[in-house]
Amino acid sequence: MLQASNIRVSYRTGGSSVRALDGVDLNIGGDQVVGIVGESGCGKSTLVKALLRLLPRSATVEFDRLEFNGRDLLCTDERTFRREVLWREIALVPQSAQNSLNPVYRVGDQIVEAIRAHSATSSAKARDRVAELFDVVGLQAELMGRFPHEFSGGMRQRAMIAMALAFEPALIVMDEPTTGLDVLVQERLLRRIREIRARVKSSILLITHDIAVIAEMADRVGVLYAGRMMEDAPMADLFDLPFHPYTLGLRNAFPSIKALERELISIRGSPPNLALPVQGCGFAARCPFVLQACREGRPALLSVGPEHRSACLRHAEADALRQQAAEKQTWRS
Amino acid sequence: MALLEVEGLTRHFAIRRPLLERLLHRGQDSVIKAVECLSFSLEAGEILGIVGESGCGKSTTCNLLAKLDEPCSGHIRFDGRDVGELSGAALRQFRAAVQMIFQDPFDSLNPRFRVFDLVAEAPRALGLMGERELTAAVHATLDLVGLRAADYVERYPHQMSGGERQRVGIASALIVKPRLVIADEPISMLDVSIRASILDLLRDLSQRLQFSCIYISHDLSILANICDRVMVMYLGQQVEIGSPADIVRRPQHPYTRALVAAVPVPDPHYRRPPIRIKGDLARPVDPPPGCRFAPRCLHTVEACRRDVPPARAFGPQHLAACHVAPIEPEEDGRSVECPV
Repeated sequence: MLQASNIRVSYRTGGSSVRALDGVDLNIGGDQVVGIVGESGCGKSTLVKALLRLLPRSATVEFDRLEFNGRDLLCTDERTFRREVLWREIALVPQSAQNSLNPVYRVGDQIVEAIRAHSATSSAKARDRVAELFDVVGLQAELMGRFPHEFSGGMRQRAMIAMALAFEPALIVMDEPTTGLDVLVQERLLRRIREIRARVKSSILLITHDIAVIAEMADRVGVLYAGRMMEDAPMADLFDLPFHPYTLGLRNAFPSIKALERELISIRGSPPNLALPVQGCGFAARCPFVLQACREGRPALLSVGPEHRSACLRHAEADALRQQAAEKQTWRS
Repeated sequence: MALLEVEGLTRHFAIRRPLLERLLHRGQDSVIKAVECLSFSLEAGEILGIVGESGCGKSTTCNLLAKLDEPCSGHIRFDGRDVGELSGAALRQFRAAVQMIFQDPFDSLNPRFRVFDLVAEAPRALGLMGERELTAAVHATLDLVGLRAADYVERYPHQMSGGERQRVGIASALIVKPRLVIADEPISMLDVSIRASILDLLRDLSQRLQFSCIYISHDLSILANICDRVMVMYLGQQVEIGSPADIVRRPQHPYTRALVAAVPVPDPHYRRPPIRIKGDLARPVDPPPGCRFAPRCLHTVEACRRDVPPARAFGPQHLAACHVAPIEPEEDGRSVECPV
């Protein structure tokens, strides 16, 4: 459905240029939840904004290819994109969606306005539509007349999802949808998103730093690091048989109540400075399995299983690396 | 003897109604019952986690323990002395003995201070040491938290990563040799890949330097990992306390059960147990008598809405405040899925 290849984004800041995304491919099929997981500064949000053309002028965006439902978006001009694609075909639930509502307008009115801005709909029809959407996301219709401050965090998030669903877009992009919500609210929201998907069949691109949320929601997942895709795979494969050392490290670092005795292991160092050219593998400086060759050439994203790709030079030794990666000592020196 | 003993700690905040309503004798003032009758103790070197959702009183508890706020009733005994009665030199000593580590290392460090001054701030303010002694102490403390002093003393916060900043935050708490460290979500702003190193550091140092720690978080999986005991709070009330295994594997209170069941687990094969709870999280404004969880509970009996349930023992260290517990699994089955 969505095919984007070789996405490159750089930001000009002062005299230097920061390469935020460096040759990332993204494919999303119909009726699929694709997760992108990564830490701050890895380019997650840039990826979203590049796809939706929301980047500021200081950013240079290049794609080799960008097609959506058979339509070449590279040849679509700005106006057509905003009129025909954004919201209608691809909708966004922005990061901190909870604060994206205007505090001085009633929540229902804001969604009515969004619908009317993108289609010739009468006010009454738009209002009926909002009532339907509220029902889909599990908000009572009488809440339409309330102001954002009368909503809880989870309710505001659901209102933003209702707005995104207005035109039954083929793809909904959710940027950190549960960050800042309490666990019980988060669990409910995720459950609600799954229910909505069963009804409206939109695909979802889910961006988050929370591996547990991805594990729960996604069919496929991409691991982004320093602006590059390190590994991408069907969800279960990524957990059962990860190939990239960064994925192994992330798995070690993430706590789970189902493994109380497991010791958490962090990854030493910090991500590379993207204002400087990154030679070789972006993870080389922090990787316990680094070879000289890793620093010289950038490892290609290679197929390691069905629909499973990883960008590492040591795939042949993956079994041994997985064993070593489970030892705390490996990540120390 | 326990380092810290808390007994019946209570903090209410009054909200006055608007002037007009008061003049017309309409309506009533409200009370936010942020913390209600909290009792627990903390041994030397122990790490106690406090978990709960927004508004459960975690932060108010922190402030009370650090004597940044005064309780309405109840007692905090630190090292055998009642904290409410401290003054003069004893109070200054207490101020050094209890230190805090804050959530956001990007906000909590003064951007115009160099690392040296950030770490030196507390001993200077408390007049604990001379400048020469201070220099040695700052260097030693930075080494302790894993930062090479020579490389860092001259830096400003913006020249450091989040992890390094949080280490500076820890150093500025530890330099005065505290006996109790209160850490309020110290890793929630940090990247996943380095969180474990900060947790390791805290645990290591608490053992080596023998300080106790109160670790506040909304993330039960982190608490279960670092703490010796975990306390669960709901709308100002202490709901359950026990070892991580007690809380995660044998939760007794229906709220703890729901909380544990809702925790996201990083495993695509994990099947979540049903979450048996109804309604939404309220605020602790004019709460009804009895158990504050009762309106959302599927097991309530009459007593729940009338009397605050006393903490009852379910294991050597395991207490839960519920009239109904233990709830048999089959009885649990009668409850309905909550409406989403």
